[in-house]
Amino acid sequence: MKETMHLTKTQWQLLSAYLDGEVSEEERAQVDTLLASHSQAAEALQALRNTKSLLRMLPQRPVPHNFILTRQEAMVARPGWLVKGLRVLSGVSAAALTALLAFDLFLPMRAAPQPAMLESMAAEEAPLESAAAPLAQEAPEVESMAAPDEEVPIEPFYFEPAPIARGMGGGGGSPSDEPGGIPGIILPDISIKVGGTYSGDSAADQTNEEELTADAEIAAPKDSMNTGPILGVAPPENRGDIIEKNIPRVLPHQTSTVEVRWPSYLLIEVTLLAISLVSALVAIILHRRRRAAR
Amino acid sequence: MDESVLIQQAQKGDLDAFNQLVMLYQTQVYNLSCRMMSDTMLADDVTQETFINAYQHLKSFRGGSFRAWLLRIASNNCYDELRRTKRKPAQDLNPVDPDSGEEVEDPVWLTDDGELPEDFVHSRELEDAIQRCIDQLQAQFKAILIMVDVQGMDYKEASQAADTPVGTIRSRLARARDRVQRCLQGFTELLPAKYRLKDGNAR
Repeated sequence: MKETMHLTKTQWQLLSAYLDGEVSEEERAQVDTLLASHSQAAEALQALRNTKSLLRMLPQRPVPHNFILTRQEAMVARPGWLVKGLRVLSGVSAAALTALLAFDLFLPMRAAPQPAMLESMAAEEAPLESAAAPLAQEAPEVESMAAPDEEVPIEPFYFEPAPIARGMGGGGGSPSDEPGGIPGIILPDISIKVGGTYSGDSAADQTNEEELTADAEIAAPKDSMNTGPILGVAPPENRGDIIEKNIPRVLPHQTSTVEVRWPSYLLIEVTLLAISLVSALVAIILHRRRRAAR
Repeated sequence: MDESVLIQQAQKGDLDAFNQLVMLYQTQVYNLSCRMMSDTMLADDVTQETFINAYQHLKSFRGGSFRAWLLRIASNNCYDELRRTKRKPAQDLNPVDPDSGEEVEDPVWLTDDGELPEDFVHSRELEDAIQRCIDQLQAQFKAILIMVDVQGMDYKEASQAADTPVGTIRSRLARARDRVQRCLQGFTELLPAKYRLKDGNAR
């Protein structure tokens, strides 16, 4: 005896495919079993068959006219190389513009003036300037003392070589050590010659120091270095004197590099935008004309 | 002439060969468009557009069923047109009777094709009812139902035409048939006696 049941979605799909003969042998056997055991399945299959027959009864409508293409239509239908070319041009320029904008937006963020970064960059080009940078940071008030009407890029400075700490304070150090050190700190023996290179040699450094002193006309008497109020530390007025000289500074030069590139970038971007928009517009107009001509 | 020869010649730019292919398939393309769009004017436009597109992209045809390839272009054009008309609903251009204020029937309905008036009206009403049920389907379901049940394609060809796997054709067709069947229950009086469904006959 056949049972009454509601068909599942899968069974319905199976019946539908069975009706069209689009089932595998296994599925066919499955449907045959279903039809034999469930009256609902047999009725559903009959209903499906009726629906399909009704749909097949729909008459074929005659075409109102022939849709053959004339020579003129065929010519118009041919892919317009100009339209295609303009589309490509528009796309390429838009892509280039996007890339340039992204480059413009993100690169300055990455290359933002980081003091340490700039120092390292400067060190590659001019070791002297690299050594001078920390001292310049220590005495910003000296920089601000520069006359405002002077040319900005030419704001160099000389400085007294950093006092050498030889452990004189607090009783440290041997009598042969040079006085004027900071207690407890031993700094490397660095001396700098303007326009020259750093040398690790003490004897040469001594000579360079003398040359520097002569060149820069530093008025600080060497004796005063030995007579500081606190165990030989030189008084503040005798340390870090900065003398102007025509050496370009590193910081303003590095910062201005990005700014100098900006106007040319803007010009390229504006040009790309114009090309992209104009070519897209012309392509659209030509395409519409073609459609209208049909 | 053999279809494949015509296709090869058309691909080389022979317009006459292409037009022979147009003559072969224009009725099927037009009817698919008519059933999809439910509007003869739009179907006319879509059919013309389909053959122009086919001519433009003929070189991209890589063999297989040319009918399926053409109907794929036609159904894609129908989807585009349906989307467009959905955005901008067209105004009904059927004339309105100035006395009664009622819409005058489509002149196509008034053409005489030799049937008795009652039979003609009945068959037109039935066709209209079936078309309404088809119109309720989503475009993808509609296309598959028309291709398989109206135009008699098998699943494989329908799968090529719809650019969809056979399994999807199978499930979409089953769902479409289910919905049309339920919809037709509302038009029982129009259905021939042998096609009338008993209550609860549908799934």
